[in-house]
Amino acid sequence: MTNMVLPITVLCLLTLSLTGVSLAADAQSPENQFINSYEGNFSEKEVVPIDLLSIFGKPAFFFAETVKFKAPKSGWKLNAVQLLGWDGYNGTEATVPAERVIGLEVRDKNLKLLYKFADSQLPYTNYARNATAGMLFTIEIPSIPVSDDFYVCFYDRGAIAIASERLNKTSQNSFIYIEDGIVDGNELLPANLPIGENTTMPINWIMTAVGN
Amino acid sequence: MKKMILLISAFCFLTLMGMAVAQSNANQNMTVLTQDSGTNITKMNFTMYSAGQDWGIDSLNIGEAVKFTAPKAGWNLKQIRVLGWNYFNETTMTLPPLGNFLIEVRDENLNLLYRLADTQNAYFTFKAPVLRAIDVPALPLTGDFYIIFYDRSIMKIGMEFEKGTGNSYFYNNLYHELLPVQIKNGNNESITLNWVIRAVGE
Repeated sequence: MTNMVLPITVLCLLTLSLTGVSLAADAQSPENQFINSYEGNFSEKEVVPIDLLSIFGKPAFFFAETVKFKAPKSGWKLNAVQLLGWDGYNGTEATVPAERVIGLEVRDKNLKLLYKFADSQLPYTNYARNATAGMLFTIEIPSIPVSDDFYVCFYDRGAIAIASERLNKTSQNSFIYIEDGIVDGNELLPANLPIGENTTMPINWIMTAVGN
Repeated sequence: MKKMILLISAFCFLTLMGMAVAQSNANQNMTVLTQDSGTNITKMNFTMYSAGQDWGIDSLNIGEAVKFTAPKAGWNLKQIRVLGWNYFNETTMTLPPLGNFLIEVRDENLNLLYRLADTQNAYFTFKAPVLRAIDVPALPLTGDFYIIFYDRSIMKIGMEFEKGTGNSYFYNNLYHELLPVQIKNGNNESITLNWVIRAVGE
């Protein structure tokens, strides 16, 4: 575990500069509602980019940045998820990202799987837009009816560092979801990242659920 | 080792069988919707095309799109056929680097109905282009709908040069817009092209 906690100290020193936060794809339908995982304007936040693979090592292929959302009304349909992320590209040839596979899941309040999608990260992130900083990206979803609480789980698999905000106490809606029964079945853990032997940093994933 | 030889033999057999194998997955009752000329592939005037040729890095978000019309209410899309090839070199038997293509089905208003991303080598590793059948979970469709194939420059898809039906487009999924697919001939006349993508269902 010791070697797993080292990168977070480095990551915490980074800040994610934000570009391209209003892509045309962000709101295909004018009727769309946006449910944020955070309060206020994230451009005013201390945003920390995190990829779980760097922190937890290979087991994190099964770890997902997860946010619990609440459907605003019955019959509400989720049709996209937005995240703020960076694929490592800084404009140099050496940082052109290799193709890797990211994953997205939508789960109901009991963590039952409603939708699953995996794809290359390249079409979604900053490299494909010749941007050298983190940016908002959108993953479309065929409309999925959700009601009450539901979870969006994003598996970065080391391909994208996802923006988070640092909190003073454990988040009530951000989690790390462990999918593969590594710890006796699937588990939902608080989003408290290890930053030392006995110290953790509570965070909130920057994520938006889009639907109508 | 025996398993290896069997696998290689099976692969060679499939390669030789080519198109026939790739097209044999649908049952006889299924309807094949065609928005190219409908000509048999072996006689069709086509070339192989990759969006990267014209769109560069933007091709990651540019798909080859074809508009279809469901033949009746309650019609279910069950299979998509794409004329494709992944550059597999039969001489060296070297597989191309793994990459993902993406298929989308969208309704007449371009709302996303279905999405599949998968590696090109699992579908298009043949010595020559094949009309490859890709099964999808039954998807009920009404009216017009679009099938969009993103080759992402890791493979090529069939582009027919003649008898353009006007139902083939480029689709930009960042801006949700359809663009016409045309080229100019030597007389500076526009020629409408067809993507060789077909919809199969019942």
